[in-house]
Amino acid sequence: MKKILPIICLFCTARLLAQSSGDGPLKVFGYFQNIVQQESLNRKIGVLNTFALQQLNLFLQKDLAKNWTSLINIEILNNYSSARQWGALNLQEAWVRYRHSAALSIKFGLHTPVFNHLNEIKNKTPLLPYIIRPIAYETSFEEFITVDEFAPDRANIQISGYVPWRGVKVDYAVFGGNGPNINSDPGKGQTGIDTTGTMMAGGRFGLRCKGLKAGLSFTYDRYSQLAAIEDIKIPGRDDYGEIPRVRFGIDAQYHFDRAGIESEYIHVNYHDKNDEINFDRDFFYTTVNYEYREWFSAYLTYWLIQQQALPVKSKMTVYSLGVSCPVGERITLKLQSGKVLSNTWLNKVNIGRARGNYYDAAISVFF
Amino acid sequence: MKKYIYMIFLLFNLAVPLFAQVTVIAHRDVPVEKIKKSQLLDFYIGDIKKWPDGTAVVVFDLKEKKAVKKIFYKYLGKTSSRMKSIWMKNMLAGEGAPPKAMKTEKQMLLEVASTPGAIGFIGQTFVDNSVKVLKTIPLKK
Repeated sequence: MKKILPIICLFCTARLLAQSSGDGPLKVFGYFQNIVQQESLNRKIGVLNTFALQQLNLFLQKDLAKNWTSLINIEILNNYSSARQWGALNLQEAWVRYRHSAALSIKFGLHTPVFNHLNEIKNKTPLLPYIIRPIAYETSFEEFITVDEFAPDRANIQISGYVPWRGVKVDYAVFGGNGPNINSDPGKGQTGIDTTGTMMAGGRFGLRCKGLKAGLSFTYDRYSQLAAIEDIKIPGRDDYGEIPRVRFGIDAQYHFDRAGIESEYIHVNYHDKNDEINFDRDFFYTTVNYEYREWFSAYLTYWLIQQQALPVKSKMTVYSLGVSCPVGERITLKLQSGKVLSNTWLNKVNIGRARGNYYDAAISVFF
Repeated sequence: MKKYIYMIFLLFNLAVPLFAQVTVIAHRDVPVEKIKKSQLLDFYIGDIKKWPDGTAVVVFDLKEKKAVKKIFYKYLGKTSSRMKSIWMKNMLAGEGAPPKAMKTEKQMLLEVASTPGAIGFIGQTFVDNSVKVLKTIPLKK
């Protein structure tokens, strides 16, 4: 009887939670952003002009029962064509959430976890004034920048909510998911799963008060594939074991009437005891924006990204300005221009310096 | 001549509050008689989704960019585009659809009166007994 009682309790609770009265219709919606870009970052190639379907996201959402919602988010990047091997197709989210109250929501399944301000909305082009996002969040660069090194892109369970306290909303989120050691080689077994004993754990603690929103975020996991990166292999040291990795983030934004400022910093630290290697990374951005009219807003933004794979170190800074013009409820025209400065050092000797500009125009559509 | 100018000025000052005053209305069965600014904002940004008795909150918006809508959002401390951005964020996070936007204040009154848990805003001149008035938004001079 002792063994059956918990099962009966669980069954009764599940029945109680899943009241069918909340069943709703299947909602289909999404957005896409088409761009035209001129880029002059590589002197050898010269100026590049290109059109691109930068991103398309398709959402399927359904209220399954009272307090239960599910959502699927499919993301298509960079003129995707499987026949031509262009771009990428991602299943970005597939989750079910139980919302008990504003203070407690539980999300099960694949989702983008709460980490800093921009992480949750980084892929949601209608919400962003940018065409090219602050670089650690630019998922259309995923093919050549390890974007998910900076902020966690995927988690599998999350508990979140907010608690009001003296006029302040105290936000919290804790989440868990796979570590970074995902198998991509069919020869080694099932792909797309963590084939090690590692897990990721993380969270965010934040405050909201009037126009101010600020928070601290972190994740912890263990990296076990560093030895596989050929160009950083050190003779006689093929196996570095599992290296603990901590991501630390701080974010703040303030809106006053039509003006706003937002800023974020992320530090990725590898607790490697080996002096020969250092993979620490830093990212910072700050944006100042002003909404002149409902149909016109402008922003100035600065990004800094530093990556190390000692003895190699690289640093990139971007200064960018842009405007965003909503046309009706569902269409936004965007313009953005940026100046990029990039340096690479090997053993503190500068081995590569690049500077260039980019000019983008985009049409963002929500449907 | 000066008298007339003063009279016109006085009438103008009286007339603006009379026509532009905004009232927050709700379905007659909602379990509250008054609402605070912070609660109203929580309803409109989707942070609170239920009335104290558990009834779902159904929020209505106005389609047209009338003075009533401008005053209401200014009172909440948000621009219209900021509110749209919050609703879109909620929708893309699976938190629910944006509020249904009514073409006219008269339509808003009818919808709020006939939808359990509904809340909306209209000019004071449109209010009748079919809805409950939760707040009259003071005009800042």
